[in-house]
Amino acid sequence: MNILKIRLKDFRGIPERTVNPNPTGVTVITAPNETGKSSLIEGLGLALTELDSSRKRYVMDVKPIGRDVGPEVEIEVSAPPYRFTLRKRWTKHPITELRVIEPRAEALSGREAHERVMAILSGATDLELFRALQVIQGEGLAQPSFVGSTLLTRALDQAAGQTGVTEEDVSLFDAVEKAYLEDYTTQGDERQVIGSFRDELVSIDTRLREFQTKTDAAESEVKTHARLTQEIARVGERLVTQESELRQWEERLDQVSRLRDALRVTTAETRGAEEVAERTSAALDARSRLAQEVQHQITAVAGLKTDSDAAILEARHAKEAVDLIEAKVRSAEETWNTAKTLATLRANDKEKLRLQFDLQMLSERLTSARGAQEDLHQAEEILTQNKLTDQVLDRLREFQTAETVARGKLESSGAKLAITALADIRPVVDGKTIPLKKGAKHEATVTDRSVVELAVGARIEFRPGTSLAQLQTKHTEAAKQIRAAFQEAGVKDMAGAVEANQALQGAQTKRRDAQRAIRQALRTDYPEPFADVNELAAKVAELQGRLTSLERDRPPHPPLPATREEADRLARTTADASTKAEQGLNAFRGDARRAQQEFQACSIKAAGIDATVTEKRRILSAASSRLDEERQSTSDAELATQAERARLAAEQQRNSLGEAEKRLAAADPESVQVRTESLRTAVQKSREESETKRSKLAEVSGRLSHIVQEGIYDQLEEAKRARESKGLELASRERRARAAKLLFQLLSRHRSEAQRAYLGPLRSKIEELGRIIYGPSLKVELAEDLSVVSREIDGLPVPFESLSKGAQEQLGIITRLAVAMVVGKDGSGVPVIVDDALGYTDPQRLLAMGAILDRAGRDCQVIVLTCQPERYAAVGSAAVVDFSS
Amino acid sequence: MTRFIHTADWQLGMTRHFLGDEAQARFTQARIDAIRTIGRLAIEKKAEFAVVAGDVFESNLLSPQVVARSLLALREIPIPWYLLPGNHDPLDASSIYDQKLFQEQKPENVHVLRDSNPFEVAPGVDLVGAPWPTKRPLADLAGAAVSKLSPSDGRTRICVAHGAVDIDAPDKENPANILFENARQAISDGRIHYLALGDRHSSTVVGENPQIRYSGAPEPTDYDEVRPGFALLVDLSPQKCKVEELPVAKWKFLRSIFDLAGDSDVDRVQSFCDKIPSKETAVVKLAFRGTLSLAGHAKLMVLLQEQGHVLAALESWESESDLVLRPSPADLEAVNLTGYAKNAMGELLGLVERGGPDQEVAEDALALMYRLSLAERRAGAGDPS
Repeated sequence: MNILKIRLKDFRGIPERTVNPNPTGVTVITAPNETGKSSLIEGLGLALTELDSSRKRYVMDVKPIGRDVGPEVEIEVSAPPYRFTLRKRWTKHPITELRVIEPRAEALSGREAHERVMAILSGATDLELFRALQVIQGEGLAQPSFVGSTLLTRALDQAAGQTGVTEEDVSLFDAVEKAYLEDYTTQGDERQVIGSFRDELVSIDTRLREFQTKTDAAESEVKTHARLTQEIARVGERLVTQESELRQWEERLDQVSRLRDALRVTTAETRGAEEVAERTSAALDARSRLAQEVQHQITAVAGLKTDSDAAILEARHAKEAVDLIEAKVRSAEETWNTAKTLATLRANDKEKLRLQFDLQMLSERLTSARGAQEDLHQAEEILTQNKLTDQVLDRLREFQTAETVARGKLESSGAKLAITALADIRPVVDGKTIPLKKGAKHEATVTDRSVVELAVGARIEFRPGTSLAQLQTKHTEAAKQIRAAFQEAGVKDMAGAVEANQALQGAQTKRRDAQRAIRQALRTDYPEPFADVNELAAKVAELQGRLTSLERDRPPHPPLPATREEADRLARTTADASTKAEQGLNAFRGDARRAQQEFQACSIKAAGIDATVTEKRRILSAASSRLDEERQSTSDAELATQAERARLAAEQQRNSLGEAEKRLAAADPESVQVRTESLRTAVQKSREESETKRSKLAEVSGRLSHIVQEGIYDQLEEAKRARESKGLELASRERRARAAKLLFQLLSRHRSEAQRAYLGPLRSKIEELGRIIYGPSLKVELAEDLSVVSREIDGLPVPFESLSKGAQEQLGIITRLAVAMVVGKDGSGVPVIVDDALGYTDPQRLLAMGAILDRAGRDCQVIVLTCQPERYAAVGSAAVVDFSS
Repeated sequence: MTRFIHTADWQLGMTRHFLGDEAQARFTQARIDAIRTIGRLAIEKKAEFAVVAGDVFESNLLSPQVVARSLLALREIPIPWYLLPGNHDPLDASSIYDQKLFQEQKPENVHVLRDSNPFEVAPGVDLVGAPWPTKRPLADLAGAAVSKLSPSDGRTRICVAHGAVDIDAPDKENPANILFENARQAISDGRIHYLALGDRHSSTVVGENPQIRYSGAPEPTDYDEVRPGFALLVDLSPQKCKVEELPVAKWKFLRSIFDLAGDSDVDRVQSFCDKIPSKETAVVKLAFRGTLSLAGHAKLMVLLQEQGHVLAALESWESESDLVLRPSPADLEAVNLTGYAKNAMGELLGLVERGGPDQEVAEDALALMYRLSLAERRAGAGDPS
């Protein structure tokens, strides 16, 4: 692509300017600063990229200030096979006009035109590369990025002698990469997919193991079943043998049993015989003892008889004594009865006289008390009605005084009306005519109002002040009060009140006296005073009653004593006599008792002895008769014989017993017992073992019957099948992955190599240009993205970043020029645009840069914009355009 | 004279690990259907009864489905079936013949030979079974059964047994081996007139003695079986014995090695596959030796993929395979690689030539590159494929 023309109109501060750069070689466009030469590039850029409808900031920025017109750009571009002009205006009256000149004339406008231009450019050239090759003012030091430029790539390929990386190559690489990425990540790690296959395999293996284990378990159960069955059979046989042996020993045990029984019988018999011997011997002893006993008893009875007789005699004497005493007692009793009766009589007399005395006294008291009661009653009646206590009287007096005072005050404070007649007058005072002669006085208290009329023709009114009214009121109240008080007290006036009060006092006195009289009446000779009159009255009645009954019961003789003293004396003497008689009686009674006791003791003793004798006689008789009886049935001699025989028999039995014991011992009963027991235990154990084994067998059978229902075989086989198929799948996947990986790695490596080969031509070109300025030993190293990694002079490489700014900008321009030279020799490339660069380059190097630009200009279009034309003076071949003119 | 069917090794419920789920289901069903086939032949040929000489079921631990379906098939054929427990289905504590399902659903015409007492199965015909009580018997069961017998007195006696015969046995030390000499002696003594054996899957005459025979399995189970897929129809009397092989099998196991000198040889593989009848019951294992171009290899891969879809199973015979890829000029033209891609292919070729452990990976990479290049080329040319 070459730029043939750029025309700006109403663009920023430029009204109109056109530039026609050389289609080939170097064009230097000079203009002072701020004349808009950068606008040229700007305009070119806008025309190539922005729709006329664009309102973007950088479109708006180029609108001329202060004028209402749209900025306009027209460019002419050659991009073989096309040549066209493109005109655009933005903001105001936007337009887009395209005129294609070659290969075929076309005219388009508007959006269509814009799109056509885009299509032409993208087909014929490479806009990205174009942009990359611009050195924009201020951006000179940044390394351009050529990555992705197919134009460049193709050019480099061609230059490197390749047939070029075709699109097919690219898409093959993509396809290989895609295949690779199916199984690997971009980092080169295996993808999860294969891992998950492996995991599945692991889980299948686990299942497989599980089912295998179950199958093995089933097998093992089968084996156990067979083993147990065999063992059960063996135990069965053993049991049969053991049982038969056991039977034999049990027979022997029976035998031993029988011997034991025989022994028991013999033992019993021996004991029996010995008992008999004992018994008979005992009988013999008993006989002799009995005989002795009888003899003994006879002697005892005789002795006792004598004692009995003596005791009877003694008892008889005692009885006689008792009778004597009892006669004496009877006589004393009579004496005492008589004395007692008399004493009682005299005592009653005494009592009676006392009673009479008391009764008299108490009756008197009663009468007096009754009288006092009556007085009391009267006095109280008065007191109930009479209210005129001292307090009441005092209060009445107070009220009286108050009233008097009030009246006094009233009268004294009252206004006084004093009329002194200076002549004969006839005043009417309060309607009343009061004739007065000369010198006469009339005084009156005016309590309320007083009117005095005089004939002289005057009415004189006296009105006391308010204080008088108050006093008036007070007085009225006091009068009311006293009147009410009198009424309440039940009297007419003070005199009446005084009288009433005195009557009250009299009644009070009377009451007091009566109460005192009653109290006195109740206090008697009795230790406690009576509580009240009624009690006193009751006592009187009681005494009366007793007296009456005493009088009733007394016989006529002996006569009553005359006095109380007499009565006392008689009572006393008779009581003494009675007591004495009683004492004498008691003495005799005592004696009688003692005699009786004595008699009883003797009787008892005699009876006792008698009883003993009787008893002893009985015993003796019993023993004797028993002895006789026994002797009759078995004589003493016979007894002796029996005893001897029994003794001999017992001895014989003992011998037999010894024999039986020996026989038993010979049969070895312990061993037989032990053997039989142990065999029993063995049989039991065998039975248990059989039982246990049987139940184990049942368990095993049970477990087996469950297992067989599960269809383990099928599960196992299915797992095996799954393993096989999954294993194959994994293997095939892994194989595919390995192939893809090998292919990808191989292809990548070759591609990188190829890419590195590209760099050759570019590097060569850069070095060719660079040697002009840096000398023949210049070498550069390029990265894959075609940026300069380092510059080597005289064998010393220096990284790009470490170079001076001048060197960096030089290399930047050199690189672009090299790219442009590689890309297009016949206008099919892209132009290099340098906008005011090389600011850091010293004059020496500037010369060299000039030569470089010259050289580059032979192969491509270079447009340089500058405000310092002397910088580019060394570009011999340049066409210089003065922009400012 | 009695006529009966001698079969064995049904191994119902057997699985083959290289079969996919669907093919396995059909395989299982085929073995059950074989029962019906044998039964129909039995009825057609008027056999009086049938003996199954062991391994009726593949395992004592089968799922109920297979057992139920098998019993159903047996029920449909109204002849007496005599089943002998073999080493796969011995009469031990887990025995399938003692399980609830079998007990409940066993048809009346099915009998299990549980001991070696002779009993009458048809007028004048006795059967003596030698059932396996465990997976590993410690003695010759057939010999023990036969030794108890006295001469048959005019009755026809058939002994049914299972296991290897010592003269042919793979493991000569196995105590369970059936002693040929005993069997032969028993036949010449007239104690038995026919020994119906099971265990070998091919129909076989033992020791050139036509009265001692294996019937083989009714359906093949592997590639190396010589003569599987038959049931024997036996006409027997004390004097005479005639045996006819009745073909029963529907499945086939085919194995083949192809020497490929060039791409055109792939067509031979194609025609081999095309000739296989009823592909859905064919299990095929192939080995390839020789050299192919990339195009040829691609063609072969496509062929194998297609066949894999229609065959019951297609296995690769790794141990016999030895195929090398060599790109031809035509290959290179077809891919038309340039630049670094071309260089890359060149390096791959070098790896393939060198051989060694990387050869296989390099060949795979080469094939992949070939395939992707062709695909890209087609896409680039606007080929919608």
